Amino acid sequence: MFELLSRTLRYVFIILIYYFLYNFLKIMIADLRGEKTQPKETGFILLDDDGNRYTLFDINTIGRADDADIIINDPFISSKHALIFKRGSKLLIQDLHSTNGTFLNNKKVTRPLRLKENDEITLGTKKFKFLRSETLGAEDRSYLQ
Amino acid sequence: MDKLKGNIKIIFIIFSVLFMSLILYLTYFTAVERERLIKSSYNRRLWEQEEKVLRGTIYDSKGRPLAETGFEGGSKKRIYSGGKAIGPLIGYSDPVLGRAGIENVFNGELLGISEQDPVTLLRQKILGVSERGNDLYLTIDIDLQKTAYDLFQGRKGALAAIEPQTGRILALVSSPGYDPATAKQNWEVLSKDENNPLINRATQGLYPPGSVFKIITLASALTHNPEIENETFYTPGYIKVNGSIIRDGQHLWPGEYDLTTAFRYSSNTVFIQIGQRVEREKMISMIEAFGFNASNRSDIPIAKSTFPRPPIIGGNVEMAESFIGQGRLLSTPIQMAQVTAIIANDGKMVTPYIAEKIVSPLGTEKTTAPKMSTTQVVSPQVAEKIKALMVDVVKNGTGKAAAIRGIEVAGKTGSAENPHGQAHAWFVGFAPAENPRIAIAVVVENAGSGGAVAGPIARDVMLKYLSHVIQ
Amino acid sequence: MEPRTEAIYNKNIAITALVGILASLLLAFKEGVFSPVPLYGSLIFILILFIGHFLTNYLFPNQDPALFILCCFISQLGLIMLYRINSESALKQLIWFGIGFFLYFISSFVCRNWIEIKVGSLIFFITTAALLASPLLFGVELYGSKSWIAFDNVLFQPSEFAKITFSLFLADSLKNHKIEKPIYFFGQIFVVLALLALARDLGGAMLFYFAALTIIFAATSRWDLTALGLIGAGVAGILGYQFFGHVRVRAKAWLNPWEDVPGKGYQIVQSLFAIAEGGFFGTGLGLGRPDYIPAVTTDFIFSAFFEEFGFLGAAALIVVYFLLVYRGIKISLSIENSFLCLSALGITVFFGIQIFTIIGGVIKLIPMTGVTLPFMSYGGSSMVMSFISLGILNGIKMRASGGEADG
Repeated sequence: MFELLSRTLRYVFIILIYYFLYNFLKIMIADLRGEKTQPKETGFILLDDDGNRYTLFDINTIGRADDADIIINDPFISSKHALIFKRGSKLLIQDLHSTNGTFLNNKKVTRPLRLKENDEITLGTKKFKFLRSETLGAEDRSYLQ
Repeated sequence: MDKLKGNIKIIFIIFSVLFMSLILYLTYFTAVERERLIKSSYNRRLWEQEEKVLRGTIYDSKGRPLAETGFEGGSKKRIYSGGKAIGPLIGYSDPVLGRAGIENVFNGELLGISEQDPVTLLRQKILGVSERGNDLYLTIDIDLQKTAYDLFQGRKGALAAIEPQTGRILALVSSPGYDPATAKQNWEVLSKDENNPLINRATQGLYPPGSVFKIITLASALTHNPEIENETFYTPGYIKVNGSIIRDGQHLWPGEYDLTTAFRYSSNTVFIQIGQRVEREKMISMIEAFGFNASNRSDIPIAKSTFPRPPIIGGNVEMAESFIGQGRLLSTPIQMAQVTAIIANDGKMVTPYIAEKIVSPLGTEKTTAPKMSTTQVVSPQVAEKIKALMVDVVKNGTGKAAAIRGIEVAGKTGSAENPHGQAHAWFVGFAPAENPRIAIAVVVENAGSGGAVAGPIARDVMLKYLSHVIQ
Repeated sequence: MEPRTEAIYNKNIAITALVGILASLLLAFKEGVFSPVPLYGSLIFILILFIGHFLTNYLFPNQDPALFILCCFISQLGLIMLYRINSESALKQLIWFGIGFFLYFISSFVCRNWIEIKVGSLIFFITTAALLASPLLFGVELYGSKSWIAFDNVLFQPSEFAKITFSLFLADSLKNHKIEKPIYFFGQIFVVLALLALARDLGGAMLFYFAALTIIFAATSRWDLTALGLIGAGVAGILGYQFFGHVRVRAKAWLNPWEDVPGKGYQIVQSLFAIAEGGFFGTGLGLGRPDYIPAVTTDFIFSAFFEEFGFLGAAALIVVYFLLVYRGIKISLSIENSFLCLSALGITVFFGIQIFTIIGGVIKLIPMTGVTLPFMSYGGSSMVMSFISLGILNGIKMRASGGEADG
């Protein structure tokens, strides 16, 4: 009886094992597809005073508008306020003719300016810190707990 | 950093290739190597199966048991009832001696170890028959086999008889034989016997075919130079090829011969002449079409009959010797029976087989016969002409000893010179010529003239077989 | 985690549990009468699986849940095979699995929080060397190599742990994408390989060698060194064949096992018979003959699995292992910090090479080396260390994806 049971069950096992595999391969293929279409992270982030992090990609528009890449709801920020973009290996910031202006280390941004680690960016009244994503991890561990 | 990521991707690709190679190798292993390993005699699973399973019975074509497993004092015993006549063919299966012959080749079937599906298993469980292997029915008729074996009267030799249209092997004799029932007791003697009774000469013996090979030379000449039918050839009793002299047999007078008389009296000189007129490549491909140098397709192992190709044989002398079946040409008796069957079967070749059917304990039948291949080796017209010449050989020529009253027999004799003494006596033939039912090849080692020694054996076997099938 | 992905993970947890329950029910009937032991074992396993998955997911929201599911799936197949071969060793292995999970959890947690504590490559090297030297000093000899230490009947193989420290050593030495002090660096690697060779653990030496070669290539992009390393491996192979008897025996057993079936070729031939018997669908669980294969619970567990689950099962298992390697590679690709990236890669590469060499060995694609099949072979140190390695990998993943998910 055991023999018969076992000989029959082997097909069930194989079906289950392949179902398991199929599920994981589905994730893997989704991953591989996603990697191609997703914008690449630059390894830098913006950190606001409240501790919110915004990952920076190759091109980021910042503003109140729904279609901005980084949406910030603040009355002093224009719908498309500023742009951070990659040129070569460097990240630059540009003002998009905002009402209240964009400031880099308290200087008004009138032409694209290069960003360096620990720079302070002011949009309207909101302040952001420009940081490397992994430095943040090492520096500030409190949020992990 | 980007470089590092690139390198990691390369490493990932290498791992993908490595893991893929594991799966590919396993695919190859399971699809190709597997069969061989399952049957390996080192595989303990096989002997374990042997312990559990009642080995299937081997029957002859009329359902008479040749080998069956019974119980003797509570333990299993393999009982062989075919005697010496079929010993080298049936072989033995013994934990000490190992396996040989049919017992070895069909071991998997006799033990029933081929993959079983759950449904079959369930049925077997319910019917309580799972402990039995499959039964094997051979195409051999044990009566005919015994008759044939006795005709050798202990002389060394072999006989192969097949049904020309199907390839069913009707008899496969190797003399001297041995009785598998007593093989274990007599092992010392048998294994040292200089006459090698353990070897199946019909399938494993390689002999120079001698003049019976002229059938192939003739087929090649008639195919490529049909005009020779109307020509005559002169023989002074010998022929010079590159300075070497090859002679005709002593019974042959010098003079003019046409194709019929040259074949009737088996003139070496004339056949070398007509062989030389065929382009060498065409000749070789015809010889190979008749089954030389071809790998075995039958369900029993058959040694490869060889026609050494250039450059192994390069000289005209060796080529000329081949036209009359001498030189370095070697053939098994069953191969010559197959050559004969091609002529009998209107030029079509069939693969010989020995397993009629395999019957599972539940009664389901399975045929293992090789696919009926109908390769046209020579045209029916050429086959018809050769047949007529072979009928003439038995009526008027060297093969008179094979003639049967009331039945037209076609045949060809041969006396193959060899380094071991007197010539090997050959006879190949089939009968009845109009509607061939049996094609046969007989060789008796070092017995001299083919017509006188091998012819009568062939005649008696054909007669015995035909008297049963023709009412 | 996306809800869709989460649903897939949950589905696979359910499949794993189902396979376990079916197999244990089947094995419960193996001796003709119902024995509940395998069922209990399976329930304990499933309990650990569920707790492990949901607890770690709750505590570490940005972990890689696939790692745990994949290794549990493989471990379960290993446990099933072990129970079927020798029920006692399966129960021991189940305990090791539990300990392994606990250490997976701990090492994930530790790595998430403190992996970057600076100890430097020298400390990693000294730890590696000390681990490898320890069995030479007070170890016991087993299966022809002196790489084991016994604590109260529990055998422990320090070289398993050394794989982790060696990966960290390599990652730290090469984090600046160049070999800073070549003589010093290669000297250290040589010492590690020499210690393995002294213990006559040639499979291990080969594993460490290729892992080092791979990491050096990844970090430095030096094709010249890689080529030299491969040539060096070939030369070492030839020298080993010339001068070491047991290398020759292994090489001959690989090239032509049929020459001496009862002797040198015995192991590999028995393994091949098992694989041949398996065919495409396998004989069915419990119907093969693993008792014919020597060292079946350790080196040859794959052959036993093949016999009973067939080509289809075994090919799937290889793909599951491949997915594990894929997840490791994916983690290392997602990290910007080069030390963490190389550490993750090192651990993954060790897994990958080890899996390939042992499976390739038992199917006679490459010569047999006595390394274990991670998560499947019987043995505490292998199981525990595989879990710890995976935990570190998971910790690194969480470290890298930092607070994104928390934010």
